[in-house]
Amino acid sequence: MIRTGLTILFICTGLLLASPAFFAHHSASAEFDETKPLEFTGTVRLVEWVNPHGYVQVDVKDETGKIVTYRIEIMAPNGLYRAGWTKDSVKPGETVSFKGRRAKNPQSMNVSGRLTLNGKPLFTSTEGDRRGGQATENP
Amino acid sequence: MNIRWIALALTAVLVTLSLTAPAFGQTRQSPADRGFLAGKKYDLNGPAPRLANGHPDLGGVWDRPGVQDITKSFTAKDGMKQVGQAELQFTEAGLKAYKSYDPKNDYAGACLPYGWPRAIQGLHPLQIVQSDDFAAFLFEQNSWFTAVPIDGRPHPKDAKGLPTWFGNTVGRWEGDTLVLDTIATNGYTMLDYTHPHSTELHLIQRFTRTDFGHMNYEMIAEDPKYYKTPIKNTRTFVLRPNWETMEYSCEETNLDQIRNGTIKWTPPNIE
Repeated sequence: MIRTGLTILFICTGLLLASPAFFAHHSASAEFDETKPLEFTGTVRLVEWVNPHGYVQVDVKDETGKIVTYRIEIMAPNGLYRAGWTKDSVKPGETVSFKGRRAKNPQSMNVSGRLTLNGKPLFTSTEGDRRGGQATENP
Repeated sequence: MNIRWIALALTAVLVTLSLTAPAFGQTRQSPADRGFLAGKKYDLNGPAPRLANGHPDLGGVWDRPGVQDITKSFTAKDGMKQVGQAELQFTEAGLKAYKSYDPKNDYAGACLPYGWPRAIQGLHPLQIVQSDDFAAFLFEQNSWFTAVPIDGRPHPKDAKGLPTWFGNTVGRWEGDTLVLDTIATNGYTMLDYTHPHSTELHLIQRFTRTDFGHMNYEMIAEDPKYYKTPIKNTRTFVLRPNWETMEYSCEETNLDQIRNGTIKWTPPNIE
């Protein structure tokens, strides 16, 4: 029984470590700065559904009350589509949260990190981008 | 005591699943009018199709295990597999090139041609379209393609005088296996995301469609300038009837960064 419990724990750890959040994109180090962390909650303005990276534009009120628009980099939309995401998976006006890092370029509003909607990860590769979609049965 | 362990483990399972499950987009069936086999009947475990000339037809949209490191081995979903070569024997020049790789100067990040090794090992679909004399390899990643003569002709005599990113490739059949032979690469591409190759690379790729839904793939990289012995990887690809090769423009969003200098590429020194 203890062995079963431990086995389940190890499997869970493996699942968590295999999550795409743990693998940095190969070009991320060129644009983003690990020493500039950023967190916010804001309102979706629009989704740019383009390769090699899409973006979710989010309006956030800064400390002065002014609205700034961040551009959150998301994974390659072709792969997201195959994982079941669409451009409409999050709609303008919805509230999302972000935790990640700023761009090295101080003029850039691009950011990279984890985007969540109601606490659930949004636009992650999950099954699709890494492993491929399901083969369908004959129609 | 035992019940507490079970409760703890079950809680861990639930927490893990809730953290990793997406808000939307559970793996889903494509719309009925999408996918390269939309509207068609097929059996993934049936025999490999053949052209009228009797050779296997390798055509289709293929999923491959995403290989970032040719020394690693792993299994992936639906029978996909990667068997890497754990030990590599560098020459002095090869070790120098390996140590000098700078990921910030990566050619793929700069939207430059992937070359065969990176293209074949990627995550995005590969569509093969085959006729009697040619096989077109259509890589969704960055929309690269290469059309290869597969009628057994040799490399053109001037191939090495015209080095390119994908090199010069010719193909021939050995029984039901298509063997591609590549020379004349420009030395700017890599064997994966860390291992270099030189302009002397001789790449052999063997494709065997074992049944309708599966392909065995073998890569043999001979590069005596950088490696003392050939490097071999074997992989299993699976067919994805509900996938299409979609448009993929690397430049679409990277062009800004290329223009403003965030992404730079300097050609490496080719000795």
